[in-house]
Amino acid sequence: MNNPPVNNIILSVRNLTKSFYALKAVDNVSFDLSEGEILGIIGPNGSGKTTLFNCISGVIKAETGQIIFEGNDISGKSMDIIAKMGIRRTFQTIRLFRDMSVAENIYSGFYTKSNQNLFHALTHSGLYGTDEKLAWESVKKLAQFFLIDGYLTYKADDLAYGLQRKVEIARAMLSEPKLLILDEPAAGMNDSEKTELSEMIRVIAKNTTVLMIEHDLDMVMDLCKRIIVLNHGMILAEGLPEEIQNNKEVITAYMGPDDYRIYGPGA
Amino acid sequence: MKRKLLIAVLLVFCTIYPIFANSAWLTIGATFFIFSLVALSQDIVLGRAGVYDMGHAIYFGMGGYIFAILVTKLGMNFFAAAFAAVFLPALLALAVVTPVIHLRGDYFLVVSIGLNFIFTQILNNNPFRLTGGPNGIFGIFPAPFMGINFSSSVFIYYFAFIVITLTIAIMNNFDNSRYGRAFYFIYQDDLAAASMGINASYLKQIGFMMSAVLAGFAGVLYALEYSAVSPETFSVDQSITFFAIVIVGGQGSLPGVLLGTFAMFVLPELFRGFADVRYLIFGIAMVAMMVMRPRGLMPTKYGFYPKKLFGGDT
Repeated sequence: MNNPPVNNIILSVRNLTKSFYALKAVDNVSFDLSEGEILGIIGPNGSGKTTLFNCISGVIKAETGQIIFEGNDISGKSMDIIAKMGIRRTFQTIRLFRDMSVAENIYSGFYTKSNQNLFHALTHSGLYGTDEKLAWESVKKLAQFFLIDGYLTYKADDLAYGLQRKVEIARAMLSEPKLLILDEPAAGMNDSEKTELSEMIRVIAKNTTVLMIEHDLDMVMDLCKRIIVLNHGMILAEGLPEEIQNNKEVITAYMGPDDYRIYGPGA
Repeated sequence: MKRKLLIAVLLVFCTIYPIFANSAWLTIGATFFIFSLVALSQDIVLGRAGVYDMGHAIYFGMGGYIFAILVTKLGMNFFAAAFAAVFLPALLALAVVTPVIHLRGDYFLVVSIGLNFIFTQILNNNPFRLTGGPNGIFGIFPAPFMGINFSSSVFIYYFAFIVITLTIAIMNNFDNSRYGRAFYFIYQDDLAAASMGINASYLKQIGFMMSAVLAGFAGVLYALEYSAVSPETFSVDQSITFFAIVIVGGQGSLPGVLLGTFAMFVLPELFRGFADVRYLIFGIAMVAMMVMRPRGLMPTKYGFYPKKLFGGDT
């Protein structure tokens, strides 16, 4: 068993801390992410996983620490700038443009790649035609990859939960990001959908680095070569799936102490 | 197909309208175009950028007053004065809105009402004897150019008609472009839009400038039509009316906003016989509308996709 190569580090999180009043949601977290890796982050509810993702993608600002993406410090930068640099994310609570069609939702990922200027947009002249054609063709191609091309004309809000998750990932992927951050991509999916999604993520990871939070441990263990366990905002363990599975502290964090498990509360 | 037919019928009707309309109805027609223009410009900000701007009469008034001042005090020709009156409001909109653009809906609403109060106060106080105080400026008659009398009601009608037609065509283009869709994305979910690399503040600034250009143009047309401007036309009351038109008609919907303007400005003229009671009826109608059709008379239709690529209807 080899550890993944540590060269070509695409994202480096250094001593990141974010607190909400007295609660330290993310407490001095540091880790590196290599290019092409799928890194899983797991941990019990409230362990700071989503807060960590929100700091990286710029939704909230961390108090201390650095986030280095491809050699640039992106901590404190605004969301749209971070997105333009090549980091795209999905949300734990799905955030699609609810009243718009699936096609329009995926199209939104084209915004940063588009060459239309305002004059082209107002008059439908110049680059407008080729640009729009390219956009909608890539929307269709991506929808076919995610097996949602049959739903392109549906209102996003009318889709089943599992499909909405896929639309969100497709939207994030249209801009061909360097780093894709997935916040519980399989939540609300059934087993066959999960298997399908795993395969898709594997294909995505050929060109894109993936950072994911997932509660389905089977899926995480299967997909990720390396896993980080967060608890109370701190890194509890880091390592290969097998190491994590057998780590006593991790088991305790998830299941409670031995005594508690055997005898119940009050023992 | 049906839509194209309707548009053709409306265009033909508006073109031949001055033949059978008497002078009062010609004025009502031109006024409808002018107020539609302001309502559409309000809709760029409210229904597309999603900014609760309840001070939109500022840019309308700015266009009217700049045009009036340049024509009456400086004797400028029509084209120069109109050019200034269309583009200066855009610069002012940028300057005024930039520091507060990040504010959320309700906070921005209060700011914009405050700005509108300041604007009417300035007009009322007649700074440098420019704005004419509470009475405003009378006798705005730009010098004729090559035999065109800019103040004839037929000229104004057709001028306003051309402007509104072009505006609708351009806005329709805009809605189906990278920027127009980005506005809809911001309107639907600003956080998700930001995660797609869309800079909401920048787009809102663009939206405000575009909107101020249209409102400024409407101001010029208004000053021509009535050859007078006064502060009460550009008060908060007026801003509230434009805000209500967009909400009642349907935010982000071109036909909705036109229908809304028709309902608020032209229908009251039809019911002139009822005198003051008509506004009571309209008040009740507005309340009923919001209860029964909260998304407006003709809500925005999302769901655009190129037919050739995806097949199917709509």
